[in-house]
Amino acid sequence: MKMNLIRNELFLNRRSFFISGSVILLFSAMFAGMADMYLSNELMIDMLKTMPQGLLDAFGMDAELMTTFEGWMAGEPYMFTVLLLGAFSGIWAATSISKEKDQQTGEFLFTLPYSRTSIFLHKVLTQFIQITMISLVNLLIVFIFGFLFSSIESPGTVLVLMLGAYFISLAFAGVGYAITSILSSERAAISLGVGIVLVSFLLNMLSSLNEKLNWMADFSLFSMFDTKQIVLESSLTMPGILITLGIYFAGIVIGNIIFVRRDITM
Amino acid sequence: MSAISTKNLTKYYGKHKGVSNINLDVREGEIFGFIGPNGAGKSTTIRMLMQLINPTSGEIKVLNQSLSTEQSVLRKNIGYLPSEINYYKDMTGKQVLEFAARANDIQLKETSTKEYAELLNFDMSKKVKSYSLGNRKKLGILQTLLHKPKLLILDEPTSGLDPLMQHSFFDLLKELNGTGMTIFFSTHVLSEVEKVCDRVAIIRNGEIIRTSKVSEIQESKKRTIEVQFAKSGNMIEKYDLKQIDSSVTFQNGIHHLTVQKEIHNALQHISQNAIQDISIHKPTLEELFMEYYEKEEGGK
Repeated sequence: MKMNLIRNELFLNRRSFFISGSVILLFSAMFAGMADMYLSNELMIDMLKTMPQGLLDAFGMDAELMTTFEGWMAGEPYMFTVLLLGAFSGIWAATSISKEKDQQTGEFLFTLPYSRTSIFLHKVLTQFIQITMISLVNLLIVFIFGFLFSSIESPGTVLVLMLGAYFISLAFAGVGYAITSILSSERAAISLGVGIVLVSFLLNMLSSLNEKLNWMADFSLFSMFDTKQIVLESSLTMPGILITLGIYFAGIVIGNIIFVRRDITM
Repeated sequence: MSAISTKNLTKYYGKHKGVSNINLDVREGEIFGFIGPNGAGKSTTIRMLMQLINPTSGEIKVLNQSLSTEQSVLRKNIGYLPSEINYYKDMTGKQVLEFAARANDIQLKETSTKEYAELLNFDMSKKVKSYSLGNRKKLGILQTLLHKPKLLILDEPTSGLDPLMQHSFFDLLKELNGTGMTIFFSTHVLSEVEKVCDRVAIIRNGEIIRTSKVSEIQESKKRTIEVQFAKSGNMIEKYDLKQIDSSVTFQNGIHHLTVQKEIHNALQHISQNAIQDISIHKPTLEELFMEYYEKEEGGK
């Protein structure tokens, strides 16, 4: 393992890492800390019961689940975690090579005595460390705020929920790795990294609004795990795990093949 | 033994030709100049040597290693300075050099970097984003040299350096070459080639049109004669100067003649008439290069 490459990548990503980490942790602290305000709010639950199920699904809300901390976390907080962590993961992955080309630092980095595969995989490894660290701290924050301001009956369910969000974020990173070597513009990479997550979110949302649009969910990573099922069974479905991790690893392999074979033009 | 050897090296970008049939043979221990105007194919060739771009066809050997597969470890023996160098903006010069040193499995303090930095009057403690083009170039030179490579590949190394620094840089190159380092550098500034190179290859429109010793190019018998006869006025017809040079010109009272072969006959012809002033000079490499280029262009 080349610590030099990992250290360099951590240094280069330090600002976006702290910004993204802070944003996600702030949201999680807010959602976990305010859980009881919703859970004990009869008016809110009554109002949710009057709303069409499709609309509630679209925004990750379920009146039946809104009675426990775990059920609350499976709604909007889960959706926001996937949205934010997925977007940051997608951006990091999509810009990993394209940024070097855009800022013209590639001619320096890619002519050091490291193979292109080594450079690519160390970027992947560094970003894996970043995504994992944010996910772990996020989980810790949810537990702390959950225990302090609400009551967590099943910590395992919360863990599985956050694990689901983590797997989906890795899948978004995989999509980013697959395209990063094709792109030469950092802006285009950022737009695509975020865009893919937003399109996926919209597909999932639209699929809930009408039965005829249900097929859209098949193309959305947001529908990989059924949060209702997670809350009820405290486990992730195997197909969801295999598909998300499959996309992650396939993206790394495809991205590396493209990176190794393509001319580096700046 | 060859430090760089290419055989029919060709690169096409789609239908557009980058370079075609480049045959280079840079011997170990020499300073080899790769000259040509902008867009001639110098950087394309160099980027193939550095495996940044893949050749369409042809073979490359660097330090006796074939580059048909990626040779990342080989780069420990190569120092590469691109024409436009960019480093991570938030790093200091020192951080960049430390990163590059660790990549070569050495410690920065073990290298001659500090000494070279003093020679180039370079402050390593500043952030890259505060460096001017010239200072970025200096950082590039330090990074290129820090691991004491066997082969230096420099693409337009002096662009951005002031004349004083260029002078120091060429002194440094000569010193390094004295230790056995092979230096391959591209430029479109011919005086640089004249100063330091043993041999040169001239590239035009992606093809090498001549490879020879610098001294061979300079040993051309071509001379320019500027003569002012005692009698004023244009004497081209009267003295039959077209017999010496068919393209003789007359400007500001001076006749300009170019002699391609032996100068003796020309001088004998001119001296049959009273001369007020005469000067004879060798063409500069620049003039020879331009003439060579124009000749090739005309031949096409």
